[in-house]
Amino acid sequence: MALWDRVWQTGKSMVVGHAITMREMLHKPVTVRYPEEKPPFERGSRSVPVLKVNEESGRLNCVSCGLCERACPPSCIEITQAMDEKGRKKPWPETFQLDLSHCMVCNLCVEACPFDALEMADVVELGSYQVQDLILQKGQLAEIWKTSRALRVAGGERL
Amino acid sequence: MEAQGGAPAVVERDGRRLMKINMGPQHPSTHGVLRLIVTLDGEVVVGVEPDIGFLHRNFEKIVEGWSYPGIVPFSDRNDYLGAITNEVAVCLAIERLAQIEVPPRAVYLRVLFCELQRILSHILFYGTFGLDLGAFSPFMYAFREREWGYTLMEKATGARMLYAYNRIGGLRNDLPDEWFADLEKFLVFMERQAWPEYMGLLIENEIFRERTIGVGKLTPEQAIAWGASGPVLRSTGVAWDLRKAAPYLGYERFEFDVPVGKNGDTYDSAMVRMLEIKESIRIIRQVLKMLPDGPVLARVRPNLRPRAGEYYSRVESPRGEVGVYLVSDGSARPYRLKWRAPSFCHLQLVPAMGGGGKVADLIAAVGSLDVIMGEVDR
Amino acid sequence: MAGGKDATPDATGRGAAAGGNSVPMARPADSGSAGPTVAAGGQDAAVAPELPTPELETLRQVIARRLSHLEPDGATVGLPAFRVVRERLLETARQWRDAPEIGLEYLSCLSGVDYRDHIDVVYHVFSVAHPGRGAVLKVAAQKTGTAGPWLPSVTAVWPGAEWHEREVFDLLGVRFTDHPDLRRILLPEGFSGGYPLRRDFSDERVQRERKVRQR
Repeated sequence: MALWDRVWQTGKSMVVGHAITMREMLHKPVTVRYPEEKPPFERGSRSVPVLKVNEESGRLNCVSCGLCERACPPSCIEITQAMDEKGRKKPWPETFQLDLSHCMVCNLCVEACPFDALEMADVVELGSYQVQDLILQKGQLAEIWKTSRALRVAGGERL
Repeated sequence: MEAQGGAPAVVERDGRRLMKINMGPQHPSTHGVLRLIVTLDGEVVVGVEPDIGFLHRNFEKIVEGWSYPGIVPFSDRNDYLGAITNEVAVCLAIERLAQIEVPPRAVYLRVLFCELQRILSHILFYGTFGLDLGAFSPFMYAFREREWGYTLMEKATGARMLYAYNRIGGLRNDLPDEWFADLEKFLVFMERQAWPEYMGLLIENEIFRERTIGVGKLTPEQAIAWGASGPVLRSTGVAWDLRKAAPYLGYERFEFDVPVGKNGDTYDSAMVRMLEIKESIRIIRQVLKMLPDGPVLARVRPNLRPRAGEYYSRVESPRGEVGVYLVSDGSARPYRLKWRAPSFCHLQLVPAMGGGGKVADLIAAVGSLDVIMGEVDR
Repeated sequence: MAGGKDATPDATGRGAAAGGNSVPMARPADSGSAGPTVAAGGQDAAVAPELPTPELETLRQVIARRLSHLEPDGATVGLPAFRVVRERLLETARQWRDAPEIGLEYLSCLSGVDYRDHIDVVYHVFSVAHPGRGAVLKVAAQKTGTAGPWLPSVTAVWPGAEWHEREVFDLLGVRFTDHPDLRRILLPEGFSGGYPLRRDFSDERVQRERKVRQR
């Protein structure tokens, strides 16, 4: 009895399992072959903070106030204020560095920014063989913003 | 230690030739960088000794130097498959000490995300547990739904695994209406198609049952004494769920059952998780019905200083009881934050579960604990 | 609803500037806050904070009545908390677990907290049979003395304390006597840089150079 029961159970398991996998064969595959075929990003998905460029003036929105620097938990942002020859502060950053190797993509810097100067990009392929290459300067950050923008506009309003 | 280096060490004990070998830290079936030093007599496991710490980064020390808002996204990294529950645990502790009132909509959405997270984590458990036992196809099916669920998460929070979605005082952003429609589709698919498929492919499969029933047995006394929680404790028949025992986030408002096992073996532990998926779907449905309108984030001082004091917040994560012991001295940074990780406690049970059985049963035992090394090593 | 701009937290305030570079220290609480100071370590426990449920209030009274050697501790919010001297820790733990009207058999968390002059080890214990019950037990390990801070191990009462005690030993340097296997657990075996979770710890190991300055 016990033996027959086990034979019956095993047979049933095989039939059920095969039925499920066979049925799946009739469906379209769900796999995306990633490097060749890139799935679209969801609206609002984020990778790293980048600097926004003002459409009209072509300058950065950033005024170098340093709030994002303070809000960043792993302190991966470093800003130095621009100065003119007389030592007066100018409302843009002399340097703006972002250490990608420490960034944890938490969005706190964007929320801290009162000037709408930062935005989370949706560019993820930023890998590199050298750690130094992961420190992005303000020019690079603005470049990434430009490439990520197309995706964002296509996806509708930003979150 | 004998088992270091490459060659297995042979030890003589009671006239038997025992072999001491490493399982891990780079072993495909140990779920991360867990190293088990296994003493074998032939294929019978005589002794197991877990060795941890390979992912240690001292979370607790790092956050002592951070201000409170930054701790919440960092806590995601502890249990990276239950990121939302981690955030909720930290937020509950900070909000209690800072006496912040969270808007009702945010509380309901937190429940929703905790339960969605539980579903996704249990789906992954299902896939990897099958993989541990040599069943490859269930893994593919598990990832089909997991991708869908993670896309839902991405739509809501902007990230797939480490969401950084909770803020002290609520949530980062509200959700668009179409997101709820997507969620409903996902839930219906989970219920009608995916869940029966999971059961048919793996849980009801005779080979799976043979491999798991009676393997890695725990008694309720053992489980309680060693601090087990979550599905591991419930598989022994103890109906202990923090959502019922010490309700947080207003869980007492929702109707759900706590599935329990009978034998405390790996089969029951898998079964409890499968049933919990259904209960989580039930809770999400109730949240969707009761969800109030309103803001999702309370106004919180940017430089938050909770009052001095201590609070221990407990949350039922997919793996068990996550505890956050927060000691505040009234400054902008925590004086001490201790993370109680369920997987850390569960790993202590490996010698009891795996000793005396075969090597393959040890793998089933470790797999059924569903350990996440990120929170074990912290 | 979708545009979450108004839902983003108001982190733009000026207050962030006060965040400063200070290392967190055990210093007295702001004068405005009602809570007891942490640094006092429960010495000023005259006013115990209110407990959320009547069951916890009953438990506090039961423990205070039955075990008169325990001192109430005022810093903990939401749970009855008591402080015990090292010599009576094991006995108290046994009574907490075995006395039927206390019955705290589930050790949820064991943490060590460094207060510079001593290390507090804090036991968060709950009851599975009576879900409403839970309490906190604190014991101080003095740093003075040649042996360094030490405490009796509670593994005989709550076996699950084993790894937690190893962790406290590893990261804070509290030795637990009669522990079955007191070894390092998270740090590598040869680690010799001190105890990371102590307040005076400084990491002397070679660091990866950081290009972006740290605050």
